Amino acid sequence: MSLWILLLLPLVTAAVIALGGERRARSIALVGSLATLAWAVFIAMQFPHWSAEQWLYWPGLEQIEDQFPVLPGIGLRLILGVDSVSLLLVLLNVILMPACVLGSWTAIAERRREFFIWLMVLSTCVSGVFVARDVISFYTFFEASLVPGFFMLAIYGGPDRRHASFKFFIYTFVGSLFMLLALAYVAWQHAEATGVWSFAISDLTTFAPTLSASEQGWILLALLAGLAVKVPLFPLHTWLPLAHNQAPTAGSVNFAAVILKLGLYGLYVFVLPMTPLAVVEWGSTIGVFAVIGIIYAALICWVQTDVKKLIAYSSVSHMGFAVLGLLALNPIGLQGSVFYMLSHGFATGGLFLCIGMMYERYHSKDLTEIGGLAREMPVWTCLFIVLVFASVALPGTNGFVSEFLCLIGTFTSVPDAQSGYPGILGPWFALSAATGMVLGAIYLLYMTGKLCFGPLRLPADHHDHEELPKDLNLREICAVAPIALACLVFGFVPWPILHAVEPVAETVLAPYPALIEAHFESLKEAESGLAETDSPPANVATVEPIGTIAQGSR
Amino acid sequence: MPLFLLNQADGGHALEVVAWVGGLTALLAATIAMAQYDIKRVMAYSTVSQLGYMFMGLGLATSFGACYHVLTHAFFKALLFLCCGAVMHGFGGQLDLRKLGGIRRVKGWGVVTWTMLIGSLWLAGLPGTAGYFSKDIILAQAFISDGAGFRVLGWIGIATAGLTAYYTFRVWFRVFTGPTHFKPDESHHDHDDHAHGDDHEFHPHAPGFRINLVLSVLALGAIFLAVGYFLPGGWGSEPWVYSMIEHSSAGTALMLSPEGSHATLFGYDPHISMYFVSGTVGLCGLSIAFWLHCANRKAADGLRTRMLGQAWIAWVPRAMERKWYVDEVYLATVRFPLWITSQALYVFDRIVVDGIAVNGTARLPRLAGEIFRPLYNGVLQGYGASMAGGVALVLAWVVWVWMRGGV
Repeated sequence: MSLWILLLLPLVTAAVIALGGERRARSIALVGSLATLAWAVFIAMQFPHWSAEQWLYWPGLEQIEDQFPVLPGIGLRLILGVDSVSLLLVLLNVILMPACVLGSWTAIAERRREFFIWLMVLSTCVSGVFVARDVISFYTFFEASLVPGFFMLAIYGGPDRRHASFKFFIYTFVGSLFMLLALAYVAWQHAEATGVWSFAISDLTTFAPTLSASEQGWILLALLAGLAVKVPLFPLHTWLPLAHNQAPTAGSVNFAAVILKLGLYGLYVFVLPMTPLAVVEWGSTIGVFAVIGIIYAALICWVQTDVKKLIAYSSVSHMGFAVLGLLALNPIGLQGSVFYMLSHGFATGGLFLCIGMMYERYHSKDLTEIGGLAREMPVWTCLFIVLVFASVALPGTNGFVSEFLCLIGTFTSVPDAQSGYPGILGPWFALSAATGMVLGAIYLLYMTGKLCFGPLRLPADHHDHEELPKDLNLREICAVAPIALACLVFGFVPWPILHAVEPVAETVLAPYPALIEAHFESLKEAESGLAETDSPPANVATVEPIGTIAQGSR
Repeated sequence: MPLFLLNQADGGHALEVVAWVGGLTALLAATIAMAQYDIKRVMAYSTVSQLGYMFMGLGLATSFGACYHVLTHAFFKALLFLCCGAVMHGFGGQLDLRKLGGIRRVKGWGVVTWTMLIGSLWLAGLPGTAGYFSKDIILAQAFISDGAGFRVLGWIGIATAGLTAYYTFRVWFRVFTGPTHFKPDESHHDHDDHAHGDDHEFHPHAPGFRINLVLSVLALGAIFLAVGYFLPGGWGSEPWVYSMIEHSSAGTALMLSPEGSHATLFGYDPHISMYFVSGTVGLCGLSIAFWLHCANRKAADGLRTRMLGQAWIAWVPRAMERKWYVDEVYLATVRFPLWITSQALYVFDRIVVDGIAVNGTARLPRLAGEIFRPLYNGVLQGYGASMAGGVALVLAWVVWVWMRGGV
């Protein structure tokens, strides 16, 4: 039951908000989001040993499976479950939610009730994606999360909100239709092969690796169409700067901190286990796009004058590291990638909160107009700088742990790796991605220098906010300080999370070493085949055994 | 260091490169420091210069010299920076040595004056100071190491030592001696928390007990490090500092330094003769600084004007004041191209990626709609005509199939 309660709590809160008055909406939302947080922590406490088998179902959840037979004839059941990765992402989501409510406390002045309802619905949808263990509910929550996002953007956004909201909706929606097609195809093939319809992710991920290499290639492409838009991978990122820039504070926080993670989580939960052959073949190509995105977006960040847009582009750059860590196909890289999802969520979410608080006071987020705020807002500056350091990945912050692990994973992802996990990336990927770290320091510190230091510059038409003090008040400190603190704490003590992720990473990556060795051997054979033209094409000979290896190891 | 030694063992030239980079850095940064007016900037470039010495020491495989210099430099440079900070604090943010003078005689500035003198002596490497011993080890090593190139490097280091003495005492003489005059920094005064009104005369506030205490402690530390060179240590008869470093991780590199070479400088062991050479050079630098900046305070300006007047030499002081254009070179070769690239990429992102690729794709359905829209123009005849056409097509197809089947 516990996971159902996790999904229902925000919905109940939304209903109470709807019944309650406009004035009480925010306090109800705060109580509801705190209750959800408490419940998620309660679930986390139950997590056995913080190390999981591949899919760890909660006691009692298997009964719930049977209680929700939507279409029993085609095996459509709603299944919920968590492993340590999805539990961590759920925690990220529910930890940020109270901060979002506090951050929108006074920023949202009109249609407050509706706003907080959408916020709570968004919380349910995002948690739903992370706990879904069948593709139908995964897809449903994945798409449903667009709706609250769309309304938050379209109603409460900046001047260009209509354009931004439509682009956000259509762009991500069109992409994920392809993902649905791919998942439906796998389910159909599964039914053809076994005679039983099932949409459970565990069934499909066991079955899909037995498909042929070309089928896997198409499935990977279709899945990427949906997931790469969300991640976002270059060149599918252009909805993001617009949406993040135009969204209200809570919207930006949610988009950056959790919505982007849906894409990465999808890569982790579908692409890695389902299409190993295609990942081995095309992984380095995707890696190239990730590296291009890292450098490209970092350079673009540097010439932004709009702070929110700068941070939005920085997300594009940062997510490239997480994708690289994922594609490194070794446990270190995968742990780094998961850790990156969390640390990016905290750092960037916190940065957007800070910028929102600044915007509420001065109605400007233009670096040419506003600056030198350290004298006016010392507390804000302190918190902001901690978050900037986490985003720069300075040692001692969680950003460093994740970026370093991703880079180590990428670096050691070579065919003859000593770790027993051969990979497809290698030092060149790591080196070029590392330039993104340097550029990241340049643009983020440049932004901090302009915004916090130097002579005080304020917009010409600025007048003091009636409700808010010059510096942060207690409510705003309560919203940001825990996030900044988390950045530091997990920078110094990353082991609990890394240990929790390690067994899952090893399970997910179990089939890969054999596959990659076979891949490189087939490449070698193809090379020698070119010399003696009469030998048979290598991939025909090797594909079938690979499929059975993948199946056998599960 | 172990990596470099591995390279050296394989016949590589990594250490030579390190030594030369260090020596040239020391020289270049010293010339920059000579020409700066901001006293903290002088100290900053002096730090760069001293770091050059340390790298030179590492490159010459005397990790004892390098590490000892790190230790001594840590004390006297911290002391110097804090003294500069005390001056800055007391004189309204003023750091320009042209606008300060004779602070020695202002009430309450005695401790700063004398601790800064200690720091300056140590940095200048005058005989008997810690900087003197640590620098000399590095310089002497240049003459001990094999190869004529290293001797050149050694002379560069000695020349730099003279420059160091000059620019250090330029600051001390300018700020602490001569006729007393000072005024606060204008840009700083606007934000002065102590709220001196503009109509009031500026009153410097002398450093308090706490500042003086810190300065004194650092000065004592610097003195102690000089004494430590002679103190017997825990291991054998070696000096205390030497054995401390030898038994650290830096000691591993020390074992490989080419000791027992029979190179000489002026007919003596370089370590011995270096005491005299570098001491003399340091005293020369100090004397020039004394002559230009204390005894005859107008002379420096006159010299500068005369040098700027001579076309063949004018570029030297100008380049030194502009820090040999290092910042400008970086600006032109790294920052500017990168900035242009970034701007171009941003334009590319908006116009090509977002504009043509994304919005273009999004426009396709609408385009398709535009093509077919004339068909739905609400004119019934049009609908009738297309319906008739469609029926005709279907009929034709049926007939065609029937005829094929029929045949």
